[in-house]
Amino acid sequence: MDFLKTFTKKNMARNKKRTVVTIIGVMLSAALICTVAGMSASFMKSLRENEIRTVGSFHAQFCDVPADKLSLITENVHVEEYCITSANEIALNEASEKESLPFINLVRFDATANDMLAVQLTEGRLPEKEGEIVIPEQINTMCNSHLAVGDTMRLPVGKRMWNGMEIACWYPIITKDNASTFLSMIEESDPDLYEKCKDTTPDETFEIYETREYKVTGIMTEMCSYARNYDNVSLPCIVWSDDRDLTDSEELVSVYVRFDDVKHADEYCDQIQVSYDDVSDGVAYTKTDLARLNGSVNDTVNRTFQRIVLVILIVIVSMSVFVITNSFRISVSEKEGQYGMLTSIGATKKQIKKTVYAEGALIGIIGTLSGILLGILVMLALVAIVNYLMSDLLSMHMVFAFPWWVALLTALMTAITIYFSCMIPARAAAKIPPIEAIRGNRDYNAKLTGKKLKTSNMIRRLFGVGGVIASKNLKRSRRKYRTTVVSLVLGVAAFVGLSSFINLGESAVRTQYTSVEYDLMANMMLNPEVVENGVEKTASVWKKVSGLPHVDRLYTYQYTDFYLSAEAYGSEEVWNDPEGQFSLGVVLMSDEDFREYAKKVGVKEKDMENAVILADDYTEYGEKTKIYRLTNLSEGDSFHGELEVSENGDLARKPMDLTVAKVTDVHPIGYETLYGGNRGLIAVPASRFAAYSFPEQSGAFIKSDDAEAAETEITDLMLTDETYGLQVYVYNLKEESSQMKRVLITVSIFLYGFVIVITLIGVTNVINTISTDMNFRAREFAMLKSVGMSGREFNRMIRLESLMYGAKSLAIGLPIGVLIAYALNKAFSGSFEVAFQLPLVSMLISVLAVALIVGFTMHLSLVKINRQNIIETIRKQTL
Amino acid sequence: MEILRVEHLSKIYGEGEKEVRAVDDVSFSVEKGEFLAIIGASGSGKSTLLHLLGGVDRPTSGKVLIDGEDIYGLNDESLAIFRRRQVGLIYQFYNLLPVLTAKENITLPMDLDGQTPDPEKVERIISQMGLTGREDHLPNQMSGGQQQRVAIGRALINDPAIILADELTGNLDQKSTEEIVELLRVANKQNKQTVIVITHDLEIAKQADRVITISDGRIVKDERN
Repeated sequence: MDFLKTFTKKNMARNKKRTVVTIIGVMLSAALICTVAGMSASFMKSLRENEIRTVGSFHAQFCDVPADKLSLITENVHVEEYCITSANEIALNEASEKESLPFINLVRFDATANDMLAVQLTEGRLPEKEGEIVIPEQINTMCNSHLAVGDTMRLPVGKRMWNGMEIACWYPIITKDNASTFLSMIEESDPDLYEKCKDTTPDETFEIYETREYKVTGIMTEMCSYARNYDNVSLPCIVWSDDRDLTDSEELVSVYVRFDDVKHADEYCDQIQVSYDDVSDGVAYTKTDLARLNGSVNDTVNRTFQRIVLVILIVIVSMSVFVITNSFRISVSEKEGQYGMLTSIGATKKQIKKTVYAEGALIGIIGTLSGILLGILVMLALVAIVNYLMSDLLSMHMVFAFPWWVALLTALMTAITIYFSCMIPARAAAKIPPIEAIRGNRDYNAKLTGKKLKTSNMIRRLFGVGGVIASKNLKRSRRKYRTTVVSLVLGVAAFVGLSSFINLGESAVRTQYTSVEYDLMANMMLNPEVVENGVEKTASVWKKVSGLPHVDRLYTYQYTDFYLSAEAYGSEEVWNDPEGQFSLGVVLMSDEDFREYAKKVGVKEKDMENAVILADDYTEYGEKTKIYRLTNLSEGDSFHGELEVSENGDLARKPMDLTVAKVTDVHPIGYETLYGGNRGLIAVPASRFAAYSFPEQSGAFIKSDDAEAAETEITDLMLTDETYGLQVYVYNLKEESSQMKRVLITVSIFLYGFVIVITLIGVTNVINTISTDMNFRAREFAMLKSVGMSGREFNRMIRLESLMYGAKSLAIGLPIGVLIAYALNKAFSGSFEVAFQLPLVSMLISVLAVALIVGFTMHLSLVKINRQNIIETIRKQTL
Repeated sequence: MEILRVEHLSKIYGEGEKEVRAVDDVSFSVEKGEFLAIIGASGSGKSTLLHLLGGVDRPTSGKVLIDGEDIYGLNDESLAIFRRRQVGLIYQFYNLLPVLTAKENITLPMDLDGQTPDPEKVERIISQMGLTGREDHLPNQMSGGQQQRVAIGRALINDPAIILADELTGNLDQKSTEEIVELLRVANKQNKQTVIVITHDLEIAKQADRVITISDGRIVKDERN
């Protein structure tokens, strides 16, 4: 076999350019595989590390575990590590100057919990002994305390009591005014207690059983979410779990476990849970995302992600095989004479095939190693880009990971690519009859006839004999050019289609987030158990918001529903309400905003009082976009229906008659955000229905001069006592728009990068085919010149050939790309409406790219051919 | 002793009106050690006949028996092995591998057989072919005559039963032609190798033991010199 190695290596060295171009193709394919696999590994590692950083390094939490029965977990053979917390103690938050958050929930951590559970400290350390405490920073920011590391806190520890009954530490404050809600809860669950308490509804009390002094050792921003309560009355603080013996304790604790084999986490958790059935009221468990990310068996998310990555890898390998096969086919065709000669002197088919595979193996090894290196570099760049653009959006820092299996997978998949790429050319090489090599018939194609090479007279008339020869050559070399045309077609179609997808995303962001009328959106939630006169309170808070320094204009709204009878007023083909009723949205606007809107749509001053504005157009997206009116109402029409309100915490409907002052298709501010921007509605001033409460939250669209500053002002306002019981969620639409743009940029980088690399693999094939074919025909060209074709005519012939070749690729690729773009537009038209536009820019870029690739390759070959001596070229041996 | 027997050998291309009988029902035999020249005009079928004898083309009908073995009864693998061991083919256009040196081209049949060439034998052949000092030259570094001698050396390295030469001097000048023909004569006389040459050069034909004349694919004359 030494001869075969020598033969292979020497031939590769003889055709350096083609060998290098093929290696580049393999390298790009390997790099793409490596990058996809490596980025998925990096992403998973990032998720795992983020989970450990924000939650902790455990796989499951068991809640309400009897402290005297811990051994069922702690002595389980599959439990590698565990820790215990309890959050049963509560103390008064005497440092608080705020009515809200009157309590501190003491969360006990043992030593292992300090390691296993995540706590984000801004200062100091976790407790290491009894008498030490870590406090949340909210104790200072929300409660106006001024505690620092090293300070001492006196905490009255006790129980919340109401009517002789202990209340859970997370329950809202019970006063005589809201005790009815609490009573209604216990009416069914504990009738005896209900009977005892129903007539006496005092405020709750706090019974202190001990006062403790704690030294502040640390201040935290966040702690493991599994270890704390989330309520409106307390803040969690971490204290040391004393070394008491829990063997006989009746306390219920939480246990956090890390298993030795996380893949069976579900099975182990179920076993443990069952073991507690006989000895307790039952324990519940929650598996963490860390368990899922480490591949616990029943996790579908992991499997789905792996499958997606596998599909992408198969696509890469398939496309690579498709183009790289052609490179080996060219290599074989160049050596047809040699293979024929080898066969004539006794080389077997197996030996011939082995030379092709040997070339593949050599190219594969070089391509794989360089591809892995390139893949690593690309991964490092991508990780840096993602962190720069997206770390705040992802709420995690992406890390670079390159486990050994990525390199192995890359090598394996590249080997598969090379094997399948060599298979057909190897068989073709083995089949070359020696007689054709002896005859020097390099263009062996028994099926070629004059009829098959016939060209139209139009070509001769338009382009002369050069055009005829160019056209005949393309027909002669159909198979050779097919792969390269397909490579270019795929690249063009993918680029045009994907560009349109990216443009679609950009248009959607622009449509959704760009509004000159507002740049913030706020929703207000109120807790009816602590807030009375919700409507007035809400209005008062909005008034305060509108007076903030950075708020220019505020458009408040409240929305609810108005039910109509379909038979009377409905458009039945649109509505599918089974009870035959449908509803219009009701937007309750401030009087000032309503007046402004009414004037805008043309309501006359005399009709302003009691005006009801109807905007009931509905857009149906589909193959053809249709716009309906949902009702048949006209201006001046009266209609009967029921307004949905809130009464004593329940929904109710109030019958009433309304009269349409104006029908319009001009929508109130924020319409595109309410109901997804496509619902019939009526607009009325809120004062009209001031007597009612409504079930939904109220909101506002805010125009500011500095969105970020206005957001901070609103958040600070909600921390004051005046807004107790109310919460406002502010959405910075400008910031969201900027975030979405960053997401789009990141997605673009990945998608375009993928398309460009796949296209480049195809381009290597294009360069190989064209340059080899030009060399192959060197004697033909020399003969043409020898019989009198001028240099100018010759160059023109070659340019015609590249024009025909490039035009064919574009003629197929561009329509496919446009079809993909159109299909994507229609696919997303249900989510948002963006009119389809021909992706002219990306089409133009594709035309230029194809012209450049094909033209440049042919030009280089042309320069080489024009330098050659005519007679020497003709005399050259066939081999 | 008979080394080659040809029985009713035919090679037909095309069908019907387009049928071409390149070799038409040819039968003859060759003794071991014989120097046979096959002559004929251009297109007479002599090269086709030679290729059929060498197993590089398949006949339409008929048999070729070399050392009693019907070569067209062999499968492809066996035929390839037969070619490398029993036949030495020399072509008009040398058909050397451009990437191998003179020495590597000569030892090619042995390399294909997985054998290690005897260095002394290789040295002797190189010397016989007058290629001493050019062992490491590539074909493009040699003249036509030198390349043809490499091709002869390759044909001789495995001591084949038959050497088949197709117009091997067609591309050479007079001096090279004489040298090449002499090499074949030496191989024939000294090594007792059977040599069959295709030629249109009557001077070469005169030096053979026997001359077969082919016309339109048929033997029209078979005479001894």
